[in-house]
Amino acid sequence: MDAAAAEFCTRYAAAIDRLYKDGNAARWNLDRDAFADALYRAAAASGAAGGVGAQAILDSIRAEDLALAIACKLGIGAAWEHFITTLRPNLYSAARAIAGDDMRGRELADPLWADLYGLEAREGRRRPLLDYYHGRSSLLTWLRAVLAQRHIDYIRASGRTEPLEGRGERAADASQAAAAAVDDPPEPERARFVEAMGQAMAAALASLAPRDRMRLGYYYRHQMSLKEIGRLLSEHESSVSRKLAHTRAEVKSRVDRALREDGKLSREQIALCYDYAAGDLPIDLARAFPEAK
Amino acid sequence: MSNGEKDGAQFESVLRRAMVAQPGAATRDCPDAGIFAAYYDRALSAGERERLDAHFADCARCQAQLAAIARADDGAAVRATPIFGWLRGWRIAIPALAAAAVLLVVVQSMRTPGIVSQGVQLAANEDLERRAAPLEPEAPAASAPAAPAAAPALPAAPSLASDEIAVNQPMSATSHGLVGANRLAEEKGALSREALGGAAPAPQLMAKQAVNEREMDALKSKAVPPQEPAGGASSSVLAQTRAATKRAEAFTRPPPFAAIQPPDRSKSWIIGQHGLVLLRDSNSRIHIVGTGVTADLLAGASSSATVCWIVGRGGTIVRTIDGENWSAVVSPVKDDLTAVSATSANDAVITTADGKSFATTDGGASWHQK
Repeated sequence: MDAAAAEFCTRYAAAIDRLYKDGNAARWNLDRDAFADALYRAAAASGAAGGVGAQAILDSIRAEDLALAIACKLGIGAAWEHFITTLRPNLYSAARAIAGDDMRGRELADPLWADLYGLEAREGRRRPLLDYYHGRSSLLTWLRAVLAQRHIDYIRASGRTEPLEGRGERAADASQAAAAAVDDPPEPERARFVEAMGQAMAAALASLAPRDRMRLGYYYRHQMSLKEIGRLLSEHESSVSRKLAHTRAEVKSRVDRALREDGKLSREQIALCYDYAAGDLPIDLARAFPEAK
Repeated sequence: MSNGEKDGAQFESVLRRAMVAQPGAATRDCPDAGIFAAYYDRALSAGERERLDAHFADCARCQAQLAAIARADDGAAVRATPIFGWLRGWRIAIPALAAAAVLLVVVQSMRTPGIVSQGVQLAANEDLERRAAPLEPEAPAASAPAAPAAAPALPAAPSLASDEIAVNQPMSATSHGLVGANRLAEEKGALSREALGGAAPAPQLMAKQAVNEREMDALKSKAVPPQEPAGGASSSVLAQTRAATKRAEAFTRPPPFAAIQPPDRSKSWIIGQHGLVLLRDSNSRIHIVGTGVTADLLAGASSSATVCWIVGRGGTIVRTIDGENWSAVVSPVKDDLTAVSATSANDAVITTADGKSFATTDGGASWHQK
């Protein structure tokens, strides 16, 4: 244990003792020093080992989960048995939910066991993945986060180029656009209107508060349910729904204003912007320029 | 559809298109799994959350990860099942059990200093660094040990022929205390099987294990060498008792797993208790291998990427000659087989726990003692 760690352990000895007891670390015959060292590393990982915020970190530590993780890292068989017994079903359930099907879920979860323990040694040292668990969340949530990270990496490595969600819609849009290109004469104003719409939309979205952008992203980009969004943002479902509706209205208002004031577009032209951007082809003649009728 | 409704639908469509973005590579601002988890569990300070929100608002990758975590949580809540209740079908159960079994065996073996110094490592692709060294077989212990037995020598830096691995020392003991330890070891093995097979709920398992561990400690304490008799009895008695203790402790350790690699290191077979064989392919994916055996597997040798011989307890021998399909080979003996070397699909030498060697040149159709 280095000097900084020793100082940390001395300064927060009472909290460490409390966590050692609350975590039932003695159940796994964990050495108090090993537990204290893990707490120091948890604080250090959050940049709080120097003192500021360290107490808050310690207060938020999930002591039981941390003790279990340390015991597993040390290779204590009883701890692994407990880990496997209590967490494995949830781990595989989470992998299935993340991956979307049983087979892929199993592929996602199976290798995790070996990595958690560190079966694959590098430079002669076992490198358990559990080294990166610091007890600030539940162990199960951390495992889900690891699975999620691996799933995202897998998606990227698979070379998919379309978004994770909205693939069907994009395919439909693409085929619609292709059909329109064959059937309809090119519109000279189309490119200008689409660009104007794109700029107005980007500006409107950028002006939103971060949480509003996140809410929209979770709903439209990742097609999360209101309940899931609420869990992430600590909001009730009805609040999520209400705020989404408000944000949509706000974005539309800003887009229309930008097209009207900055783009100097008429009401009919603004409607055409939406037509083009939404991919509604052929053009609704009722909305065309009056002189085009 | 009215114009108003159409406007709304169009705007929805445009907004959805504008929001679409593919998760990119992680940037320096993207947090690690620990922070994601703490964020999700609402364990971060308000300041930390605010900083992260500012990043998450514009990072499709981080949003995707959080969405996945939320989905996993929702999936767990919706599909809550009893422990092991989700095990449906051997296709799901066996890989999970196998992976967990490997881990348990590894953990048990890696706890003991001897095995740690033996350096049994899982090799993967180009990261293979060491292989288990053969341990010198011990002479079987008599009921009253007559001579001190030295502890098996464990080479610090094992160096083997690339096609040979033997990982387990022979375990045999007949003294009362050691037999008691044997029974507990078997129970402990059964406990592990029980835990993996889902026969008992967790609290009972832990209670049983706690009792077993206390019994184990009691037995070990009986095997502790006694005080030297007054008058200075010979050191050989003390050494004998210590050796017996060590054998008792060694016997209680379940056999470790082992990794077998062909010379080109294109894959690894991982073997262990209860007939466990896993294949780690060149993409580091782990596959369950069905060999049809249930005995503890103790050693293996691979002469090429498609040929592998594995031996184990009770004369167990299995072999693959195409890297995929395994078949049992009739053994010349029913003894525990603790070592094997192979130069081809037909040529192999097996060694029993007590040091007898048998060779074959016809793929195991016939054997001759060496």
